[in-house]
Amino acid sequence: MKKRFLILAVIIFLGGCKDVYNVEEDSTKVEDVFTLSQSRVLDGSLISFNLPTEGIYILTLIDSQNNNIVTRERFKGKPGLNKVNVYSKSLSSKSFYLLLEDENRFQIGKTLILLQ
Amino acid sequence: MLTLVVDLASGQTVIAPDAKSFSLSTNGQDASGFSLSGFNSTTTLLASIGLPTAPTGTTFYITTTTGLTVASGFSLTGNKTRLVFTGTQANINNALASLKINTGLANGVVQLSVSATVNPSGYFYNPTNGHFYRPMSSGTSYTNARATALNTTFKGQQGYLVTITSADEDAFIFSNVPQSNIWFALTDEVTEGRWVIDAGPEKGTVIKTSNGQFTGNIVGQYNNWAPGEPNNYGFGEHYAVTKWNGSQWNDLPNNFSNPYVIEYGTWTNPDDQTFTDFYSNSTSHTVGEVFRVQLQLNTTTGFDKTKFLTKMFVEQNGQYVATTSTPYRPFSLLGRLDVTSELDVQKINNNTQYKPHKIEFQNWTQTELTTLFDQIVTVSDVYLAFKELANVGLLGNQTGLEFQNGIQFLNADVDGNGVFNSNDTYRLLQHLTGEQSLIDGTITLGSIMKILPKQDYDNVTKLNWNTFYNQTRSNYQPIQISTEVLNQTLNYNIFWKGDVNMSHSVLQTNQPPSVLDGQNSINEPQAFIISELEDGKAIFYIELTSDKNDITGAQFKLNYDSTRLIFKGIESSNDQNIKTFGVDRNSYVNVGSLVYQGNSTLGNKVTYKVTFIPKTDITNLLGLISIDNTDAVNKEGKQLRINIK
Repeated sequence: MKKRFLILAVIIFLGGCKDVYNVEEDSTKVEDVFTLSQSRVLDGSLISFNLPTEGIYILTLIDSQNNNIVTRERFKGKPGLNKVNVYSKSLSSKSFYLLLEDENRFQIGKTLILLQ
Repeated sequence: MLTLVVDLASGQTVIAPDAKSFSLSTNGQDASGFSLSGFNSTTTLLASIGLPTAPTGTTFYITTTTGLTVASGFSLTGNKTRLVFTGTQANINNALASLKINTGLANGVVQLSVSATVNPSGYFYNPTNGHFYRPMSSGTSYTNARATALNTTFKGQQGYLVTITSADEDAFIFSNVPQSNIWFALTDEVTEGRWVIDAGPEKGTVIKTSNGQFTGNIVGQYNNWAPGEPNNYGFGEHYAVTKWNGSQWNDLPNNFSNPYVIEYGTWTNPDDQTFTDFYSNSTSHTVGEVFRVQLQLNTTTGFDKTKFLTKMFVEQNGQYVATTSTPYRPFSLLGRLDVTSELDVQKINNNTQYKPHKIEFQNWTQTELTTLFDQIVTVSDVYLAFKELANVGLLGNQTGLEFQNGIQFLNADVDGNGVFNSNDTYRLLQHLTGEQSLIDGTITLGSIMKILPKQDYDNVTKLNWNTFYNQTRSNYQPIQISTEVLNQTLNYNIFWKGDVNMSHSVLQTNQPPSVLDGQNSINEPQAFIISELEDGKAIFYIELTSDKNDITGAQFKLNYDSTRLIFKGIESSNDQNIKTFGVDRNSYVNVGSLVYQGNSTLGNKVTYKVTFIPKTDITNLLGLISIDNTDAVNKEGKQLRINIK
C-alpha cells in the first residue's frame, strides 16, 4: 500500500511540473503554449500552438498587472502547429496574458507569458 | 641564508578630521576628529595640540585628561592655544576626542595641529614652531656651548645653541628650563653693541645696534633685555643669557660657566617638520564664515544625474552673483553635490545672516535635456496651456475651468523670460508635434532649468497664484537658502517632477478589465489597436472612437523595438484643422492629434496607420510594437483616459 502511494505521488509531482514550460531552455520541444498555465520566454523566443484550420487569427498581449492591452497582432495561420516569436524589448512589463482569437474574436486559447 | 628585516614600527600616523566651520563667539564647539594610530599601545608618547593660526579670541581645551602628564609649563585644564602632554595612544586619543574650540568675535581660519612622537626623555617640544629643546644643566662657556650644540643630533636634525626670536619662544624656555642664566645664541663679539644671532636658521640676523635696554633695538626683531643691559660691563661681555635675574636678558663674558639649551629644528611651521619618527597633522577650519550646502538631485527614473551641472549664486545688493567664475559643476554619480566651497569664496557682508541663494542647473548635453522633455510634454499639457492663456489663466483672474492643482509655472515658462504666455505654448506645441525641438539653441529652457522646492509647487493653487508669485515672477527666485544659523549643513532634495504639470498625462493604471471579462468602459474614448505584416512592412493601426467625448487632443506613446524596426511614418484620417503628429524618439513614437484651429473636435473616429520597416527578416510582430501610455483632453479641458480595446 505504501509503495503504491509513493508511485502515485511521483506521478502527481511530474504532472505538476509540466504546467510551467521554459521555452528558452528547450527550444526544440514542440508543445502548445496554450496547454500550459504559464511560460517563461526571452526576447525573440519561439512559442508554438495548434490551430484547427487555415485562416486569420489574432494574438493579444495584456499586461497582467493592470489588464491593459499593450499590443495585438493579426496573422494568417495554418492548420496544425504554428510558431511565432515573442519580442520583449518594447514591453514595459514582465507578465502578460496571451490571448488567441479567431477573426471573429472568438477566444481559442489563453495563457500567461512571463518575460525573463 | 636570506634574512628579511621588517620594520614593524611603521604605520604610525596622526589622523586629522575634515575641515569644518565654527560659529563666532561660541564656547565648547566640537573639534574632535584627530586621533593617533599605529603606535605601540604601552609606549609613552609625547603629544601636542596647537593653534599655529587662529583668529583673535580662539582657544581650545580638552575635557578628558585621564592618564595624561602635562609638560612643564602647561596645565591640562583651562583654555589653551597650545598644550603638550604625554600619555599612551589610548590616553591621548581619548583626550583628542574631547577637544573643544572656543571662538571669539573675529572670523578667519583656525589651524588646529596635532603632533605625536615617542616621548624623548630630557627634551621639550614647542608646538608653536615644532622644535625640540634640550636643556644642558652642566655649566660651560658660551663658545663651548655653541660648539657642543653643533655636534649633537636628535631625530635626524643637527642641534644648535638655542636662539630666541620671539616672546613665545622666550617664555617657552623660561617655563621648561629650570636653570637660570642660560646661554643662547646671541653675541656682539664682532662689533661691540651690534648684537647678532649666532646659530640656527636665523644666524647672522642683527637684532640690535647699540647697548642699552632699548637703544638700537631693531623694529621687528625680538629683544628682551633687563634694565640697563646690555652694558658690556668690564669691557668683556659679548654673550647673552636669558633668565637673568628673572625672565630677561643680560650680556656676560665668555668664561662664565652657565647652563645652555640645544635647539633642534629649522622650520617655523610645525607641519613642515622633518624629524624622523615624528608624526603631525593639521586641519584648517574656518570660524564664522562657512555655510554648508549639499544638494541631492532626484530626477525621473532612468535619468542620468551626472549629465547636469549646477552653479551657486548669492544675493548681494539685490543682485544674484555667481559664487565662482568656474563653469557649472557636475553632480556625482549619486546625484550629490557639495557647494560649500563655492559659498566660502563669496562672502556675504553680514556674517550673521545668509541671504537667499539661487541655484541654477544646466544640462550637460542638449541630448540629455531633449530626452527629459521628450518624456514630459504631452498633448494635455499643450492644450491646457492654450486654455490657461485663453482664460487669462496663470497671470490673470483664473476664473475659468482650468487647472485644479499646483502649477510648475517655471517649467511651463518655456522661453525663460519670467512670463507664461502664448510663445511658451507655441513652443510646447512645436516640440510636441516635432516641428521644432525645445532644444534648438534659441530657447533659454534648453540651457537653464529653474527648480523650486517641491513644497512651493505643492502650495500653489489658482487662488493663491498671484499673491504667491507676483513678486518673483519677473525675477524668478529658485531655491531659498536663508538661515541665521552658521555652521549648519543643509541637505536639499531636489525633485525634478518631469512634467509641465498643467495637467498630468492620464496614466493607464488599474484599468478595469475590458477584454478578459468582456466589459467596456462606455464613458471613455476608446481605441482599437492591431498590427500586422503587410508587404514586408510592420503596420500598427489605431482606431480612436470619441463620439461622446468631444476630444480635442489625443496622444499615444508607442514603444517599438528599435533594434529590429525603423520608424517610417504615420498617416491619419484627420481633416485639415487637426494637427496629426508622429514624433520618433528612437525607442518610441508619440502619435496623436491636436485641434489647433477653430472650435472643433477630433471627430467621432480617427484612424492612425503607423508604419515601420524591419531591419531584419521577421515573420511576425508580437511584442515588437506596444502601447505604453495614452493621453487625451476634451473641449472643457478635462483629462481623459483612452480605453484600449
